[in-house]
Amino acid sequence: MKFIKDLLFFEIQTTGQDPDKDSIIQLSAILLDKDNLLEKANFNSYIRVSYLDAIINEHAKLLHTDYETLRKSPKIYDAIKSFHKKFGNNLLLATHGFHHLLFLKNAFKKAVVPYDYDHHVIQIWTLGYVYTLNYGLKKMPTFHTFVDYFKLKQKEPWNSMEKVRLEADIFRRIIREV
Amino acid sequence: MNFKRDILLIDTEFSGFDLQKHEILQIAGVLLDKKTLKEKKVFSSFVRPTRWAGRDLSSMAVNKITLNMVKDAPALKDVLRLFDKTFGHNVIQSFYVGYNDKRFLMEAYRRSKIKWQFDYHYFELWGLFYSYLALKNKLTSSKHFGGFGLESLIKMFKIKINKNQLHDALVDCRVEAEVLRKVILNLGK
Repeated sequence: MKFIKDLLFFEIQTTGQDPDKDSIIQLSAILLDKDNLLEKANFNSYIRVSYLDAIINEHAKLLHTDYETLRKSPKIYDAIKSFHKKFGNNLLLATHGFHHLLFLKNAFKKAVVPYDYDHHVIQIWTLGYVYTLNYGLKKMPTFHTFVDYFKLKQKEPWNSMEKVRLEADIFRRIIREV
Repeated sequence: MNFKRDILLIDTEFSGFDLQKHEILQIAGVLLDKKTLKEKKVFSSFVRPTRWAGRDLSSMAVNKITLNMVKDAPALKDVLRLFDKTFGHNVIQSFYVGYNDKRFLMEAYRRSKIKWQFDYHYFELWGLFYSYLALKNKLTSSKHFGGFGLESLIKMFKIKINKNQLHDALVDCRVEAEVLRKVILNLGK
């Protein structure tokens, strides 16, 4: 097995489903080494969307965190700058679906940071579906189908850091078991 | 092998990459049977442009679409209606490096005021093929990174095709279909 570039898996928690109207409130990522798929670096940040107490409280509930933690979290501009600075762009993005990419790209636009990643992306759902094809799935698979299939456990469904690690684990298992 | 739905490979050609300035000029689809991956239905249509003057010349050099090819084509709304009628929506959409195809297609439905009724799940074939090639230790040159485009796939998977036809949306769909069949066949062994 040899990937040409390290793989950056990312996940987000958002305030809704519309990339044009809703906002990212947590951004998590892990960088996998291209040779052994082990975690090399990671990033995890809550993102404060507003200064208004009511909105901070509302988003803190979504994230299962407290008001003070979210109030002290960076705004999207700083979070995206740190994210970009931490990993650079000589990598390949990997994520669960199309909407995640739209959200990320919009976040870069809001932060006025050039989105300079390769437009080739690994999408976990495609790999998972093809991998589990011969195992008698009864319905269209979801992320949870793969979590169950590989006997993994998701303890905090609201936590994008946990989710991105699960996605990376699913990816590793697919690659190692094929 | 049994996918839960038939697989609809989609490819579009557009006049540039800016969603606000550019537009779709060709849409093609190939529907593969969920059990056999054999071709069941095919669709290909040029789209009459409304912003031809704003086209990006470097994109046009790749797709090789000329005004003569599209000036008498049906309007976008009619093409999308026929596309929907041909395939329905109970399919798994599939794209090869589909970020721009999907963006342009969703925007085309929005502008045409036609409801987007497809499932949000779709296959991104590039990542599947890339991972497959990594497993087989076929990714040997970083110079080719991002560049195993369809030309490279044709060579790697020994697909017989006239290379001059590449970047016709329908031809591209059929190449992707053939690679998908080979990858799934090999993974099942």
